[in-house]
Amino acid sequence: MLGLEKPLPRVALLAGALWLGGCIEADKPGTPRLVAFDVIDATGSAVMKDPDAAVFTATPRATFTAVFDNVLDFTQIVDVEAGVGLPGLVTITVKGVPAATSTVYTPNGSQKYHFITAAGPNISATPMGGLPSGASVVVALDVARLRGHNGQPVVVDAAVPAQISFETAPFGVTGEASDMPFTPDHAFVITASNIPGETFATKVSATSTVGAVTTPVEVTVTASEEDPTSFTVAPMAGMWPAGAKITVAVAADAADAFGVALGQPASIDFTVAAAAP
Amino acid sequence: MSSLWKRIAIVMFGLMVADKAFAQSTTGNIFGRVVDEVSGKPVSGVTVIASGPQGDQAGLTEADGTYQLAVLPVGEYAVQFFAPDSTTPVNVPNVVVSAGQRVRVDGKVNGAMTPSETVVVTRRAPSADFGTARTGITFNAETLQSVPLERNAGDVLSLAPGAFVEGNTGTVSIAGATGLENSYVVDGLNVTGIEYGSMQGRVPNSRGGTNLVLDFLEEIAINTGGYAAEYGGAMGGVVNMVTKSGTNRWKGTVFGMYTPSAFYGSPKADLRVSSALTGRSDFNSDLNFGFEVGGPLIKNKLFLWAGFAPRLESSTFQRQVQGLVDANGDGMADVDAAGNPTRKLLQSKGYDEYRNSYQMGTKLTYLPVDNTRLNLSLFTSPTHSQSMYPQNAAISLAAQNPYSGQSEFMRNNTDVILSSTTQLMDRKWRIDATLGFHHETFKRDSPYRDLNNRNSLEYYGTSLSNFENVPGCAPVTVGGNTFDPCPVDAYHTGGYGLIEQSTGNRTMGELKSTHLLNLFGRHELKYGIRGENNELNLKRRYSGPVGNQAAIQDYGAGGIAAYSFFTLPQGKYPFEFASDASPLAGSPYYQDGLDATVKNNTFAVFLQDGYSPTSNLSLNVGLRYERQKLFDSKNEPFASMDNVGLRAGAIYDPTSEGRAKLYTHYGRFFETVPLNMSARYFGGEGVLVRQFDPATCTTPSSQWSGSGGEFNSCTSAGTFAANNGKNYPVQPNIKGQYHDEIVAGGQWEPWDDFLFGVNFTHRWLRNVIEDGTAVDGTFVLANPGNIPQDALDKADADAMKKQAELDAATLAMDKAAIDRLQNEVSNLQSRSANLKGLAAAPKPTRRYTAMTLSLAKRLSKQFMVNAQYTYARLTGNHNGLYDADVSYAAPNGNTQYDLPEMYLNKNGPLANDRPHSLRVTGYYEQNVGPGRLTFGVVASAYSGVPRNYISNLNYGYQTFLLPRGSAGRTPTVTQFDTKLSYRQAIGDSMTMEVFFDIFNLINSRTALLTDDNYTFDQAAPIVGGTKADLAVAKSLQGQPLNVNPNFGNGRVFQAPRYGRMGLRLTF
Repeated sequence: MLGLEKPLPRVALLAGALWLGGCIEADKPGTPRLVAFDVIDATGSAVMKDPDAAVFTATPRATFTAVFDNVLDFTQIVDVEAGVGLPGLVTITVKGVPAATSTVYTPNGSQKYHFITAAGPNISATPMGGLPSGASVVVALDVARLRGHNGQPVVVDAAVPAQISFETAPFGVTGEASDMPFTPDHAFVITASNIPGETFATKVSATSTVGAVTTPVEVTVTASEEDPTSFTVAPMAGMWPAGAKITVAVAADAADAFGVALGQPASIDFTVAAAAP
Repeated sequence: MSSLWKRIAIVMFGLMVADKAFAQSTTGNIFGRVVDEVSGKPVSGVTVIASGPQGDQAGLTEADGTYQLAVLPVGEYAVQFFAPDSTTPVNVPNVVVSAGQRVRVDGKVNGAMTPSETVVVTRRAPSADFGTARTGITFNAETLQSVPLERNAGDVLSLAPGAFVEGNTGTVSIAGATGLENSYVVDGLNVTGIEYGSMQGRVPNSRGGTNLVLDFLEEIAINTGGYAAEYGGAMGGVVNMVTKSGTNRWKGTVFGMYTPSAFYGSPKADLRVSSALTGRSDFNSDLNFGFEVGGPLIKNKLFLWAGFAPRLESSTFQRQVQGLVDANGDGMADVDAAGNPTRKLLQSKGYDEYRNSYQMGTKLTYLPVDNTRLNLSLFTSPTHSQSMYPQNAAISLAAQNPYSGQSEFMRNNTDVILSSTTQLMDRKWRIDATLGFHHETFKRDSPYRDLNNRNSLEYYGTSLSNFENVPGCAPVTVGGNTFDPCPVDAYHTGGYGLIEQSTGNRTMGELKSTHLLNLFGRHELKYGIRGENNELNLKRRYSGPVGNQAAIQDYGAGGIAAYSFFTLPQGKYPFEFASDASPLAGSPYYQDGLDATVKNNTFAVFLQDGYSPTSNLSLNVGLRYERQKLFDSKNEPFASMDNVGLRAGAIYDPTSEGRAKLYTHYGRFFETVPLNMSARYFGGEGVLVRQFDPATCTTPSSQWSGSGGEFNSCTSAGTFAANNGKNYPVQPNIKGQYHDEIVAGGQWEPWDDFLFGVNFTHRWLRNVIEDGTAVDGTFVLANPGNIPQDALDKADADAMKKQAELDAATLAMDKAAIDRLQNEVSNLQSRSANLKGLAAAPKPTRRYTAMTLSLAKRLSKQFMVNAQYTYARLTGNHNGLYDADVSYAAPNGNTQYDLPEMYLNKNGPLANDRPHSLRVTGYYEQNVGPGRLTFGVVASAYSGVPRNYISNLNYGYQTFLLPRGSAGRTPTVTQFDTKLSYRQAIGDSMTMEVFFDIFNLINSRTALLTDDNYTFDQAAPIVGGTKADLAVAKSLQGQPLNVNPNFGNGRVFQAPRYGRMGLRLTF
């Protein structure tokens, strides 16, 4: 072994080579800039503020993501041993009261070149247990704690402030839509706008209307295993009445996990296909 | 018929045989100046005779005392000067002429010599080439026989400065370019591989250019830069091989070389931490033998040369199951003090491998009239081999069913070359014409035919006990913990996998005209025209029964993926295929495999002038124009590139006697696009990837046999197309791939035969051709990072024009016509959008900067040596036609621009960056007893290659988790090869040589490549990140990364020490 990795004595002839080609351009990180600080909905998309709306409204199931154009020094934002973000980096205040928050720093990704991956590097913040419906929320990123790999503090422009204020949407319920009648054995899906309270399922009822006759239908309401806001409503008899209009009603006191109620009853109609002749 | 017309007719005869022509130099020149010994004034009318292997060539000095003898076959010459009115010569012996080089031999004559006096000049002619600024190295037949070298021309390439064997491909990177960017020439014919631009090597899957056995070569020149306008089609090096010719004396060699297993060390096995399977090819024997002989059929008129050189090799793939041990029964594998798993050999079996090649060739040389030469050569090299071969880089050789993993390879190259040279008008006009035909075939499939009709099955993260009944491999459950003694990270069983067959044909040639003129100095004006037609038929299919040919990958809980080929007619889209993909054979778009024939045409003209205003200054300037036209499988052109390259250089001899030179040269060099990309992306290749939920399969996937269609019992989990299945859209006005180069340096011969040199080379990539997508997954062939605004405007205009057609469509048009218009609009809009994205992609960069210090001592005083030290840096974001970062060869269709995420972390030291390299080649001769003892050496030491942190991005895409080169560098590689031979005369005209070569004398076993896969999880790059950032890195699913336990371990090692004994009879 000749140990050729050691630098050789500098000679004048090599100086030219070093000057022209010896300097290796690498993807070195620069001073990070906050390029986006967004409210993210349950599908992973950023919620855009309606410029005509007086109030910025977003889902109470929102999370928050700050995207930077350069990788950060994670030592001030992550407890590597515990595998969690250090507290206080992102503060979520609901009606003036700080909410428990978890943060995750992801150094991967690029804000400039991304097609199949999320923009990054980013810090995502999630309110532990979610947010109440119809509440004013302030989310603040403590940028003073953030540094780039080059030791420089994060640059924050006026166009992308490090604080978001918005209102969570009021508690509501929607049902699946279809242009076609459902089959009699169809399990109808309703979705709450926020994680519902424990008694939510008991507040759901159904009636069927055939002609001018409306009759109650006993139903089973089952929470989805994948989505805590989603419930299936199925007739205990196994079949909806053929050709009927079904109305699924949710009582006014049905509430989200924070006790915020609908305030007024909600109803969703759908039709069932007629029996085959 | 006049002499002039007769000669022209002879040249044109060649042109009648084929319609294309191309030539590279197979001859050299001697030039110089003759002065009066006393007065020092130039002497005109001096007769200069060069006596060489095929007779004499003579000329007269001009009024200024200068002369030039051109078209000299390579070899050693004696030059004689006869002063006017004198019958006694001045002799200059041992003038070595190499292909394409100009050797200066000056003379001093004295008219007062007495008739009986012969003056022998004891000082040898200079060894430098004063005709060009070309850089590189040349080996003649004598050197090739005197130093320890493997058997073929390709084995010599890495002795050139700035040249290295590239990874485990067997191809050689020259001056920063990848091994697929070189051009290989045999006797004037371009024999470069048609599909990949490669040279056929000894790696099992290798295919491509003709790689002749060294015994057939008179000379091999590895030109690494600075070549003139008459040369084109290469961005790496130009390897010029001149084969042996018959001479005026019958001579030849009979040779035999043998390496028994006892002479061969044990290679290192690829033992992965996460696998119980390991294996290596244990060498059995290597037998080379043959002959080459040449001589005059008609003295001074017709010469014949012929050679035959078989090579028979055999080895045994020794496959071992080295199970993990759990002696304490805690359900965990025991580890030794170093933290490595404790292992127990559970099974060892051997499987035969072999490789047989038969090279043969012949050459006829005909000198019909003075100053006219015709050559007709034929070479062929059928090769048949069988060995273990991994279809997938993630699967080690041993991690395969021993039968599923075996491959049979059939390949053959055939080259036919007809060349002619004639000199007219007192040798002031020379015409060179070369016609050639290059044919190459390759086939790869299973030697067990039934396995070609079964689906290949690859399992990831599994247990050997699921597939093989190896005693001691059964999982053990103790205290609720299950211990698997035989885990395997990946395993291939079932059918063979991807079956490939390719046939390439090249017809080509060139007509060159060279004029020697005097106009304010001496000019060598050269111009020429070249045509080349390359055609490739590529067949690819996955093994399996007809209608269900597919490769299946089972990732356990991660799902099952089945890969199948499909094609699409124009106007159809992959999603349409996906919608009716099941049952597969029922789809109108399904095809069992790709079968595409594509071609390219290259037309080139060049004009260059070598102007010497004084005898010690030469100014070279030239211009080369090339048009490359690429055709798809329907014989429709899809890209046409007009390439214009300027070449300019200057050579100055400060000694005015050929003992030193200073030179500089600038050139622009374009790539010849290999046809693999055309055949795949313009031949209708679509790869359908169907994903299935393993939990839903009627029969568990671990029990599948590959009988076909077994995956149809599983629930689909999605479908996507990896390739389009139809022609890729192409950027309007697409440009050729090229780089610029500057070379400068000097050579000085202070003492006879000692030539010191310093060379500086700087190359920088300017443009690439690559496929990529930026916005919607539609791949476009383009110049990423360098797309001009007019191309974007044209793409927009095309889309708008088609939209206008659609808008103007009337209800009278049938629905199919409107649908077609809508598809075309969509296609053009997609092209336009993706081109805009690719225009904003980073510019491709590859900068090679090298300084070489050299000493070339030609054979004299019993020894020859060639030593070079090179300091070089290769940086940028683009490796070139071979992407060594991810071991992927798809020239002009690699993955660098396939997704925007692939651009990231790419700047840094490129895959072939080796800062330091030192090479010494030489031999020493000593008379011992009645014979001569020769000791030859080839020694080299060079830096390792950069190492990276690689992650998966998506199916088939690997990318840089951290910036290029972040993981350091592989160790420095040293190699010391020796040769000891003893040569003794037997009778008057025969010598016998016995020799013994030892390769890798110091038995260095350095890791040439390491496992750079930091994780197999899907993870995006950490742009500009450091190793520390890995602690907080996340997968695309937001989870911490699972680190590959084998990361950083060696996976390719230097071959062990081995010896070879040989016998050579020379007559």
